[in-house]
Amino acid sequence: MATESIEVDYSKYDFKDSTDLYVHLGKKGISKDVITSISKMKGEPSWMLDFRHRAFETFMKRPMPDWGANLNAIDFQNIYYYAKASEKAEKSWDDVPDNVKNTFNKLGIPEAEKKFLAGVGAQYESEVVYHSLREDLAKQGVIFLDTDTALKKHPDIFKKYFGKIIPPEDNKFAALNSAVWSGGSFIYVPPGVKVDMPLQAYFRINAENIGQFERTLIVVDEGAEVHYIEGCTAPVYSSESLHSAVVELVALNDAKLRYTTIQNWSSDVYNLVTKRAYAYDGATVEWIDGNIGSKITMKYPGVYLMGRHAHGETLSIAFAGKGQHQDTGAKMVHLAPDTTSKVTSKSVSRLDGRSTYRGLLKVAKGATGVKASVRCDALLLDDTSKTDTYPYMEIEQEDATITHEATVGKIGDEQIFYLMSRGFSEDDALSLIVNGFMEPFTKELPMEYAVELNRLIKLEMDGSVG
Amino acid sequence: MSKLSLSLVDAGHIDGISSSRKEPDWLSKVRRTALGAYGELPIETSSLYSNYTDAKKMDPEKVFLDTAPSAGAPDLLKNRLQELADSGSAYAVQIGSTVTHVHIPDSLASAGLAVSSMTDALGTHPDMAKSAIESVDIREDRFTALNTAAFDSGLFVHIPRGLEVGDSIHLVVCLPDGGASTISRNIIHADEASRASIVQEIYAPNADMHQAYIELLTSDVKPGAHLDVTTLQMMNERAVNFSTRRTTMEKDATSNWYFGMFGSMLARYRIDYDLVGEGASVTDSEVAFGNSEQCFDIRTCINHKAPATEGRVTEKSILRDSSKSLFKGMIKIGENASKANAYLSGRTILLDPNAKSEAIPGLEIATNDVKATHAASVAQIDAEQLFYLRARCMSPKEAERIIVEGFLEPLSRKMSYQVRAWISSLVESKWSRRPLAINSDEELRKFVEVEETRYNEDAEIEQHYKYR
Repeated sequence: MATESIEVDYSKYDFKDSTDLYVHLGKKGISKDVITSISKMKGEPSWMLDFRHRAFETFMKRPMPDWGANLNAIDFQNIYYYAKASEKAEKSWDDVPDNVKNTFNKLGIPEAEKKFLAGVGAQYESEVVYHSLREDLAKQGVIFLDTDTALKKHPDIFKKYFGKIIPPEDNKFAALNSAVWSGGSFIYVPPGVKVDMPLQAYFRINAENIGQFERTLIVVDEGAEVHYIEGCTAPVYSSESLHSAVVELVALNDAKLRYTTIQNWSSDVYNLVTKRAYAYDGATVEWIDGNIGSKITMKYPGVYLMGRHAHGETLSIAFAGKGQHQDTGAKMVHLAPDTTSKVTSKSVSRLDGRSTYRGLLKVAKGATGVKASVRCDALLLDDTSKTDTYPYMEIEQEDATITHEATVGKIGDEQIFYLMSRGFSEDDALSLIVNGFMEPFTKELPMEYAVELNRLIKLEMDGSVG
Repeated sequence: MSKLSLSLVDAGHIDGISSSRKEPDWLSKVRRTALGAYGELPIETSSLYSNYTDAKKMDPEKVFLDTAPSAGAPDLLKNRLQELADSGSAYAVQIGSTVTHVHIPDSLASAGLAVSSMTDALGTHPDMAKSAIESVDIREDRFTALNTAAFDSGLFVHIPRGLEVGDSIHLVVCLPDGGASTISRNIIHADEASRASIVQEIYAPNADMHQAYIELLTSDVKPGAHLDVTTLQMMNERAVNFSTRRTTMEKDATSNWYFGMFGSMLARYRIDYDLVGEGASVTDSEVAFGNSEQCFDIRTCINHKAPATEGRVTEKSILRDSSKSLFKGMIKIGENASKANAYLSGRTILLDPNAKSEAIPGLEIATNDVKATHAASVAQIDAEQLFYLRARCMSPKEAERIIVEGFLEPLSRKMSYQVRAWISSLVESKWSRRPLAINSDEELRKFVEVEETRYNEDAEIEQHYKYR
């Protein structure tokens, strides 16, 4: 068979800025004092400080998860929990400090904003440095802010939903995030408003041993629609960084919400994220989740289907290369009648990388007429790569219709042969097959992102058939 | 020895078993070590399943062990014992912790076929018994440890090299009247190029406590051997059944296992197949049929440890009333198991609003030149199928019954027509809520006639896999 390799072109993201110009870089380690000082620096109301302290207690009490990826190398005392590179979130790129602006220029964010985004947020280390929203949307009452500002400007909506979908007690890393959170996006879309272009946030870790703990809260009111995209990158260091976000989504009656993530953290980032959505009557929530980078990712976006006819969907791809473990999946919890959900997961492992699908499908008692399907496909590109599938299904209602299917395979020699007999080189044949395998994912992305993703996963073939 | 609650099992109890049976020293030591592990291990050792176990539904306070010889066979077994005596095939009967009957036809006995109690086997086949007992990793499961520490009975089967046993060998286990539980260590050893089929029947009379049959069965299938094992669990719905099984398959060995889980209030099965020899192949078919409050906790794992091995697990549950099934399936394909071919499926039909099903069909795959596919589904009876049958003048109940039978029937196709007839008759009894038994009466003869004319096929599995 062919020896093959797929290389992720990382050079574009691997540049580092000096931390000398930072406004604030605290000391390493976590303690009650560190948390109090973060809260003080931000000038938060006292309920938030209490919330952080409560979360910290939970964090200390909870053991590390004994299932899933190996997290033993994380040293919580060797991480910066708060780093601030500029004074405040600017509304114009011109006002963003040069060193930070250059970063986002290199990543092509301002360019993208002009072309096809309705709003952009950019987070650098712990704080959001740039934020903008198209004027007509602001006039219709759409709120798109960094989460810290939202806490001050819109305390009512904020307090109503913050920490309600994912309380700190949910898991150890949600507790950690709740204790030290900083930055992230806050979006509110008023009833009936349909945001026609995506809103985007870009998260960048720059310095070594930084922990990024952004907190995102999106509330889409009745009949409204929005598409939110987040991208993540970091330069490569020899020691680990930690990214532990909490993302809470609320889709009220008949709302539509799509959340797209393209995660391309460098190969030394631990990416341990909790994401969950509540979907009420007739609402639709879609997670489009791409995991390309990081050393270890543990992420299981969930949809709690709370109201009749709500629909949840997760479409994810994972690429596990050398030294990577992508432990991802989806949770669909059906709590109301006539709710539907669909999970499609695709993974590609190569060069001893390991991809794991871990998912939960639950149909609660009383949730009649539920229909749900889960489909996992894994592609192993060489004989040292690994894949696991752990789908959990808990069905407590007799008239549910549930299916799960999974396949694992390698690229068939006959497929390669077929394409080569039509004039493709072996490299092209392989990349065509992998792209075809991922197509259900890429076709859901805005065109510019699909192109970017295809470029990111540049196929390189130097093998011979034997 | 007097009656003892399972929660009070201690070194004194196990030493008592050892000394009353004049067991060799090594065995007393193994028992002691295992007792220590039993005390330390959690009820579920795998973090994958720590929230998914029903083993705790057995209350050790309510389980009583009694190693005194049993009084005799409960009434429900009388007809069956007579039939076995008339049949002339090889069989063994264990009532409680006492093996009461063993019969081996002369022709098979002279060919070296051994069917005996474990205690006897320690004398007649000491090396085989020892290596089987020592092959078990007592730390892998709490109940493996319990069994190794405190087994008070068990059956041993050895099929010698090259021997082909035509008729099924029957292993009949029945818990005694009076409510005493039994812990059994069973061993099947199928030597090179042998061929045999074993039918295990498990019964329990009506009793008002958690009367338990706790079993550990290890099987060795040597190179080129073929072994079929059918377990028909027909215990009373108050009883408890714990079964831990590990089957080691060597080069080119083949094996078919059928589990008919019909009885007991709680059946906890932990089934492992180790495919250690190139070309080894196993087919595992499991049927759980739940009425009232019955609960089935099934964990099946196929470990592919050699190239070109083949494993198929098909589990199907029919759940009525408030019954529950929990299916934890796993395919593990190791780094050197290239060309392995694996299939795993769990399918459930829920017939009543309070029935409940959980399924975790897992895969762990460490090399790429393999075929592995799994599927699971939970649904109610297909409305279209129901409509079709009703359009042909069947009552809704009749139509449901036919669909359920059609759902379960394909799983027993690898077995002999006689065994298939028993299974059909048990499904029928289950459907009409009759007591479970497999007496060869007029009723059964009808099923035999049907099964004789059926063809063999594994269409479901063949059609499933396609590269995507």
